[in-house]
Order: sequence, then structure tokens, then C-alpha cells
Amino acid sequence: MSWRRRRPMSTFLISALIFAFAGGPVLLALYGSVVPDRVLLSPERSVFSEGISLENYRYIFTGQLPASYEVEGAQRSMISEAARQVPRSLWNSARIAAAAMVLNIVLGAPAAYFFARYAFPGKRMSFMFIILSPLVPTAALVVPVYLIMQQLGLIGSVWGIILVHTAQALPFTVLILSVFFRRLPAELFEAAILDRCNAFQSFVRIALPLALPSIGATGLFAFMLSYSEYMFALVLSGEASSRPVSVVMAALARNTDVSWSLLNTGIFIAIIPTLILVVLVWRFVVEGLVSGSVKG
Amino acid sequence: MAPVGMRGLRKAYGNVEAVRDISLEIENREFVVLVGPSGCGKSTLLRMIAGLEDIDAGELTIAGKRVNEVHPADRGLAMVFQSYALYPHMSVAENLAFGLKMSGMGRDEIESKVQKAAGILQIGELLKRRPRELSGGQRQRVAIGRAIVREPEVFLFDEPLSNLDADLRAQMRVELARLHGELQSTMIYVTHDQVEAMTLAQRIVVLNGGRIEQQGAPLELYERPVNTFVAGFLGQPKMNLVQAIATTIDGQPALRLGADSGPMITIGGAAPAALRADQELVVGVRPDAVQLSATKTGHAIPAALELVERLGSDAIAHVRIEGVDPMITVETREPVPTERGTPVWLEIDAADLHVFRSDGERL
Ligand SMILES: Nc1ncnc2c1ncn2[C@@H]1O[C@H](COP(=O)(O)OP(=O)(O)OP(=O)(O)O)[C@@H](O)[C@H]1O
Ligand SMILES: [Mg+2]
Repeated sequence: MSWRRRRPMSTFLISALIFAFAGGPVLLALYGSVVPDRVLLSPERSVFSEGISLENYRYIFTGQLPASYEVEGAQRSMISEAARQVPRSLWNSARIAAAAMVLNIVLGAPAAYFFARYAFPGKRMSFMFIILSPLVPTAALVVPVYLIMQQLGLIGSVWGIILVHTAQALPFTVLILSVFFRRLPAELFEAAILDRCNAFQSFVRIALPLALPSIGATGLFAFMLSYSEYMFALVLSGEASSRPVSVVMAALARNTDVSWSLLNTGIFIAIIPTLILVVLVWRFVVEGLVSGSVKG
Repeated sequence: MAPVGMRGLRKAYGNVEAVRDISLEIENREFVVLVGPSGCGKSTLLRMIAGLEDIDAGELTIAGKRVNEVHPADRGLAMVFQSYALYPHMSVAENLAFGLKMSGMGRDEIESKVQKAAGILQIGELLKRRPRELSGGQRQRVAIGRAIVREPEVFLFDEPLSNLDADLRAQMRVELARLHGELQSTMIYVTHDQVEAMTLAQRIVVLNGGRIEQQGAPLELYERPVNTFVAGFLGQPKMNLVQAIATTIDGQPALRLGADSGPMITIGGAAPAALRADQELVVGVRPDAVQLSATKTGHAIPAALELVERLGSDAIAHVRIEGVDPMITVETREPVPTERGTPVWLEIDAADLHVFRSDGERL
């Protein structure tokens, strides 16, 4: 498009603005995590005189206290034990979010395809039900869901959280993918029938490959939703071993004495998986959406 | 290479009857073109043959065997879609090979068939590309190639050229005629392009409202349309159709065009035997069968020029005859005055007249 070439300045400004909003906090957290509290809190000291240190990262991953706190024993309350749970919780969150993502794709894509390409009794009703279900407030669901999970014996296990997170993202997955599948020309599937594809083969060999960018996007969405979900994660996670990162971070932040550096370190560590995922998947998704048309 | 038989085929969508009672025998190696106005059921009929639509009633046979319940892939046919329907995520070679692969054919055999089809259509250099990297004409070739590799008994085409520009269409028309000669397959071809129908068809079947109006060789339909629908549908520009009354001049059968004050044409020996006096009729004459001149001659009908469209080698004149509605279209190679209102004279040979009853059937 030609406007891009003609207005490089405004494009640059807008990109810079977006970057400042999206990337700014990430960079601030990174900065806060590598300098001690005294640099953050006092205007006289700066990162240039104090230098950067990875002591907080070392503490979180190994439990070895930063040198400054060893000396100034009075400030020990600033070092929250919760911070030590971050790596473990990260692993929990990664497992939970990845499982929710996979389940979303495995369940959502066929369901969306079915809704998009087949007529069956109750189609409108069931689709409406799926699409409207996210409108029920989380608070209203916490108790019933807790009771159900208790019945299933899934309290304190990541599986309970996985199920809930899958259910939470599924409506969006089904909606987005069914819109995509509906836009695929019917003639494509008729050609597939003439090429001897049965319904399953049409789905796997024609619809799925074409939907990969959309599937990537919805999968990423499900991952993010699960990764940042707090309420159910809190209620269902039980003791430390199954807590996801959102719960641990909240506990860390709720400690009013906690060291700013340590908090920032926790935050930055929690952001890393998302960053990696975005870099890996996003390029693919955007490429797909931009070239997006399935004409041909 | 198989005959296709249709006996009393019907298809309704809810209460829309798309195809009503179509019976048609298509011979081995025949090139049949289905034409008709939009919504007349051409695509539906083709899709019923392909097996993409269920048949409500009637019997469909291919190579003499009833195939109503046979799976589309087992009917021995291939279809070329209007939108081409190439698989966007596959290369040209994969598009061609896909159907063969799904049928469980071996790699080497597929490879050789793909190469052969690519050779026939001269798309060898395109085999590695994706459909989106092809021009419209190239996609069209690939779509036809995908049909060819399957070596079907019957080819089905649903308006395959309608997305191409005029030049390419003319080129592909020639190509399709060549292919038919080369492959010796039965071809059923849907179009609403007159030229395609006239040039490609061995037999044209004119559909209207889900029924067959007339079928026959192109020239036969052109020269002897059985009713006003076919008369008006085939031919470009359209045949002139005007109301008329049977009458006599000096004891000779004649027609009075339009209202009471309209001009008369003696038809003499060319009169259909069934013509009765005072019968209400519709008379048709092709635009190229009308002689237009700027000077009065013997029995010429006076008219006034309304509009002239110059097409280069010839021109299309729209003229108004007093008391006759609508305007008459004349195709002429002679130089024509262009000024609106200029008086002109029309001469029509009685042998070129098509006479229909008022209900539209040929007399
Ligand atoms: N899936 C469908 N559901 C309901 N009605 C349909 C469906 N397909 C076709 N029809 C109707 O059946 C009739 C015939 O349609 P068809 O597509 O066969 O027309 P066509 O002759 O191919 O027209 P065109 O030249 O515009 O392609 C039309 O009245 C159309 O509205
Ligand atoms: Mg059609």
C-alpha cells in the first residue's frame, strides 16, 4: 500500500507510541529487576554508580540471598518466600496454559468446523449457548465450579485448572474458527468430495491446513487467557506445588514490605514465557492473517 | 467416454423447484452445452450429475448404470468449478495429484499422470507454484488439469471461463475444443455465454425454469427455435419479437405488425400451413436479416432511427416503426446515418420470419 511509503513519519510515531505503551512496562520491570531497591527509591543513586546485578534472579532460582540483605538483617521481611515459588509456578502455568491451548484446538477446531459446515437440529441454540456462556460472571461460577472439582477430586491439581481454563477460552476459539471455516468457499469442499475425501479427510487435509494461522491465533489467545487467569487458579490450586504464576505473583505483590527489585524480578520472569510465545507464534499468525485470503 | 442418461430428474430446495422433470440422453463423446438464464437450474442439474446434490426423483445413468446412489468420486467424472476451487495450500502438482493420492494410486503412476496432464495443458513450469501465484488463466488451466489427470468418463464444467477476460476466454474456448478432440470424453458444459455455446457445442440444451425448452445442434436452434424463449435467448443481438395479426393482402397471406395502424408484410408462400386469418401472433426476425436503407424501395417499411451503435466493421441500429413496440434492432454492414429521427426503410425477406403463436410456440 502506497500510504505507508508516503507517510513514514506518522507511521513511525504511531509505532513508537504503541511500543511505549506495550513495551514500556516490560522494560521498566526489566530495569527494576536488575538494580537494587536503593537505586529505585533514592534520587541520588543511579544505575550508573551502582551498576546492575542479577542477585534477585539468583535468589529466586537458587535461594541464595542478595548480599545487601545478608548484611542488613532488619530488612529480611522484604524478602518474601513467595518469590521462591516463582520458577515452580512458572512451570505449572506453562503446563496449564499449554494444555488449555492444546485442548482448545483439539476440541474447538472440529466443533467450529462442524458448526460452520453442517446443519443439525439444535445448531442455533447450542451455538448461542456456547457464544453467550462467557457472559456469566466468574464470581457466580466460582462456588459451583469448586464443588464440581471437589466431586471430581481435582482440587489442588493442575487438571482442575486446565479444565476450567479450556472451558473459558473455548467459546472464543469456536466462534473465531467457525467464522473462518464459514468463509471457506463451499466449492473447495465439493472438489474434495470429488477427490474422494470423506468428511474427516476434508477437515484434516483441506480445512485444517488453511486454518493454521487462525488456529495459531486462537491457540495463543487461549494460552494467554489461561496464563493470566487468577480467580479459578487461586481457588482450585491448593498448596504451593500446583499454584500457577498468577496466584504466586498476587501473593508476592500482596506482601506490602516486599522488595521492589524482587517484585520486578518476579514480574519479568513471569513475562518471559509470553514473550517467547509471541515471538515464535506471532510472526506466523500475522503472516497468515495478512496474506489471509484463501482465494485461489 | 460414457453416455449419460437422465430420466425425469427433479430437484427442489424447499418449495423452489430448481429442476423439474428433465430427461436427456447424452451420447458417448458428445459435447453438450447447457444454457439458460440465471437461476434456470443449470448448475443444479450439473451438480446432480456430479453427485453433489441429491436427486429427488428420476434416474441418472452413466455408462448405462444407475448412479443415483453412487458416491461422487465413484461416478467416473470430473468437475471444473467456476471459482476453480484449487486447494490454496497445495502446489499445482499437489493439486493435480490430490485426487489420485486419495484413491490410493502409487507415487510413480501419479507422477507420470501429473506430468502428462501438465504437458497437455502446457503448465509444466507452474507445477511448483501455489495457486495464489498464478494468473486467472493459469488457474483455469490447472483446474482443467486437475480434471484431466483423473481420466474421467465424463467432464462437467460449470461456467469455467466466466472469470476470464475476453481474450483469454476466446483462447481457452479453442483450447477446450482441442481438448475434447484429444480426450474423446463426454463433456457437459454449463454457460450463459452465447458464443461459447454456439462454438463448443455439438448439442445445445436450452433450460428455462428447470425445464428443457429445446435441444439440438447449435445452428438448428438458431435457425428454427421452437418458441419465443429460445428465439430470444440465442443470438446476439437478440431476435426482434413483435406482436402481429394474420391477415391478407390481395388474397395473399400477410402479417400486420403491432397495432391496427402498423405496417403489413406479405408472406406469400413462406406462410406456415397452420396460419389462420386474424390469428394473434408473435413474429420474430434476426437483426442481421433486416435490410436497412436510407432510400425508399418497393415494399420497404418506413421507420425512424433512434440510436446507432458503431462496432467497427458493422453497426447496430435501433429503429422505431410507427405503431410497433418495441424498437427494432438492425445489424448492418452498410454505412448508416446516425442522426436521431432520420427516416429509414426496412426490408425483410418473408423467408427470414419466425412466426409464433401468441402463447410463444412456433407455428
Ligand atoms: N442451495 C440452495 N438452496 C436453495 N435454493 C437453491 C440452492 N441452490 C440453488 N437454488 C435455487 O435453485 C434455482 C436454480 O439454481 P441454479 O444455481 O441451478 O441456477 P443457474 O442456472 O446455475 O443460475 P446461474 O446462471 O446464475 O448460475 C434458483 O432459483 C436458485 O435460487
Ligand atoms: Mg450456476
